[in-house]
Amino acid sequence: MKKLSEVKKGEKGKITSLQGDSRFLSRITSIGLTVGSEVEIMQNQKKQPVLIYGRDTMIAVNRDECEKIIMEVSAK
Amino acid sequence: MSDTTIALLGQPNSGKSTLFNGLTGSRQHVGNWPGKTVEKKEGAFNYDGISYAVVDLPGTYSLSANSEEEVVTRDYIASNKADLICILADASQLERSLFMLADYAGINKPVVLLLNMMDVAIQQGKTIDSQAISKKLGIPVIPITASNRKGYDEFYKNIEVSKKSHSMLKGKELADIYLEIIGEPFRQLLELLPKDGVGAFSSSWLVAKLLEEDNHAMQLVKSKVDSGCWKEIETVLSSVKNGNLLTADCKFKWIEILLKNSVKKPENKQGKMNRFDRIATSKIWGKPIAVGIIILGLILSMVIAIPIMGVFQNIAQIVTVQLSTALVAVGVPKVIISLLCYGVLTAVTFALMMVSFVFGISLVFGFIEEIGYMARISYVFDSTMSKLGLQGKAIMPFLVSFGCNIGGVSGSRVIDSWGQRVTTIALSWVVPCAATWSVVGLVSTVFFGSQAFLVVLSLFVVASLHMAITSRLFGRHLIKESDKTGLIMELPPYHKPQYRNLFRFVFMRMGDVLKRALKTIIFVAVIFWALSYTADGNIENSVIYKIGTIIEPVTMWFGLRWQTFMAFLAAAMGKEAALGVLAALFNSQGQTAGIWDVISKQAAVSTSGLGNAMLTGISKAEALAFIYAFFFNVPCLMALATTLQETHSIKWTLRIAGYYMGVALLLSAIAYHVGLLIF
Ligand SMILES: Nc1nc2c(ncn2[C@@H]2O[C@H](COP(=O)(O)OP(=O)(O)OP(=O)(O)O)[C@@H](O)[C@H]2O)c(=O)[nH]1
Repeated sequence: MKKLSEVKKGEKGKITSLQGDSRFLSRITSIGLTVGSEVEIMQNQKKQPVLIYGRDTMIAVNRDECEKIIMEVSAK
Repeated sequence: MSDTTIALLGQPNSGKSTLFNGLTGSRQHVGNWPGKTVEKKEGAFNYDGISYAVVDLPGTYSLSANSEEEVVTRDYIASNKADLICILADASQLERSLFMLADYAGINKPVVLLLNMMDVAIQQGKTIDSQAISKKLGIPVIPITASNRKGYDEFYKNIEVSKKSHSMLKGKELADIYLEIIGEPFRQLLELLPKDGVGAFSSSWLVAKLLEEDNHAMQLVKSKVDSGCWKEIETVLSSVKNGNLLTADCKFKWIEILLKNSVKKPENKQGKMNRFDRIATSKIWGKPIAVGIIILGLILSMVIAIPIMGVFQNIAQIVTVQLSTALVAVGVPKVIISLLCYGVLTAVTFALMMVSFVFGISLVFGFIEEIGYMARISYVFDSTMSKLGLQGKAIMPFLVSFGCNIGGVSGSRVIDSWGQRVTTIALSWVVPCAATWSVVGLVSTVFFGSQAFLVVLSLFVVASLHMAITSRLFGRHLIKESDKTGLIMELPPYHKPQYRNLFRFVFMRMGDVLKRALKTIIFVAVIFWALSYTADGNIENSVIYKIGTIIEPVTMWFGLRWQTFMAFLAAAMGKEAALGVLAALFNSQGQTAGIWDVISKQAAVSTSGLGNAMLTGISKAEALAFIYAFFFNVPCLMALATTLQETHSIKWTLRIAGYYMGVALLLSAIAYHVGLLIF
């Protein structure tokens, strides 16, 4: 279990939990990231939003928001 | 009046704008939703003898009432203004982009589903059985490729049928999934709510929104049930945690069931990210590449615009000469000739030049946006620009403004949120364009010699402060709290450019741009012409001279003598004009060129002559004051007209202009008094 901000580029896994206020949850789920979504990290560099790939889509998520997304890394 | 009103609804990048432009062409009107900082795009088209009005609803990811855009969208749907809602989904990412439809299910308004980007889906090897999906949903499902207007027939034919059949998305299946996954709380809430829902919103739709802690839905329900009932609702709601996650789960499950057996897709063999994107989003190369592409874009825009400008300028010159000779010949009074040939014709030339540049910028940066690269710029500059409360894309208008502020303002079009766009424009005015430097360079070297760089340095420091403060001041009114939540954005895949659509759209826009530019520019130019008109060419006989000399005691608070104050005013017309005005005013002994002559002809100026004349005319502190007043002034009349075009708000354009003039004078006053202490 890792925060999304800590997952390295190239790692894949499943989102296990999303935390935050309802506005954040509404936003993140409506773009396609839900608990159970399979995602792959495409870019994760300091001071830049994290780039993830899920549901056929590349999504950029701000670093602060990534703290609120927990995932289980399954494979490299 | 139109016979039928349709509204386009869809997530960002679903192709809404493309379809809207494709349908309506030049029959568009852009304004704001009443009382909101959200843009409203309306248009019209005819098909088969029926006239249609089209409303392009703001691109949002869902129908929750978390942002102004979403509230506008929802209120509009709930109102009775539209006969038919068209929901767009991107067929190449169908599962994710059907979320909007899932969020809509349960709203009782006629709806059709448009599966857009069919060309891309086909290219990916996907087959989508739209008939089967239509059957399951009970509403028409129309495959479409928005970028190909020739293929709109099926859409056109279906619209009228759909409107008549009044088919609605009942949302029964989705409600069943809610019941299954959320269970007891959902059932209880359903019983507590009015059975038929409220207005267009069905009770199951409202329960889902209540669980999502949607404020507007709460208010709505509260107003419809008695207080005891509301208490019970609140108790049930408090027993459910993270309702958003639950309902989202249900919605995606519903989508999964919907698409099962209706969509076939081959294994995704393509890499998820191509080599270029890997580099374009990397920490080391992302920014340099973005800056490089923007600068290249600026150069390219100029390459496109400058020849066109040249043609217009030449024509204008010829027309001016011909016209004035002709008018003189028939004995028209001198003042009328001057008004027509110098006042109005100059304004027309200005407007044409502005349009040429806007054309170049729209084409080049429209292209960059079209292929999908603009989203990458937004990504790599997000953390930098968010310090100013802006999207990463705002870097583009700022960089372009170093070349020309008109380009910067016009480039801000790529920023989709209106409030963000107006703030970006307000900030981009601070950026000194190329013409600013010619004047600042000359005046500062003449007066400060080798220390001129210190002056320039101070300008940069003050400009940064200016930006920081301006972004707060304007952002406070224009950028809503809800927009400030950190970036969560899709980076759409790169698209093949649709040249034909791009050209078509840019060309269509230019007519509108020219019309408006002419109005604004002629209006301001004629006023300025009238103020500076003299029958004999002697400046001292112009109104502006009289006013300038009378109020000199006041302008001296800012360290501006009447000559430099005049040049300050003229610079708001065009920065290049300032030098000419200074030359005319300081060499005024025997100088016959009037202020307006200089503005309209942009006469060549002998810089050394001007330098010497200024040195004897004003002090160092006054020169510093002028540099500041000039540097922070309104960029030029054409940038102002472009601002009006892109903000389509007279109020905000005047606010920005007034603010700039005020701040410029304030800064010049400070510079003057600091200057008095130093020198
Ligand atoms: N190949 C293809 N590309 C399309 C189609 N429809 C839209 N596009 C492209 O998809 C991109 C996004 O389209 P837009 O019309 O800007 O999407 P939008 O929904 O208005 O998105 P926002 O402007 O972000 O609200 C553009 O580059 C379009 O050229 C289509 O049917 N086929």
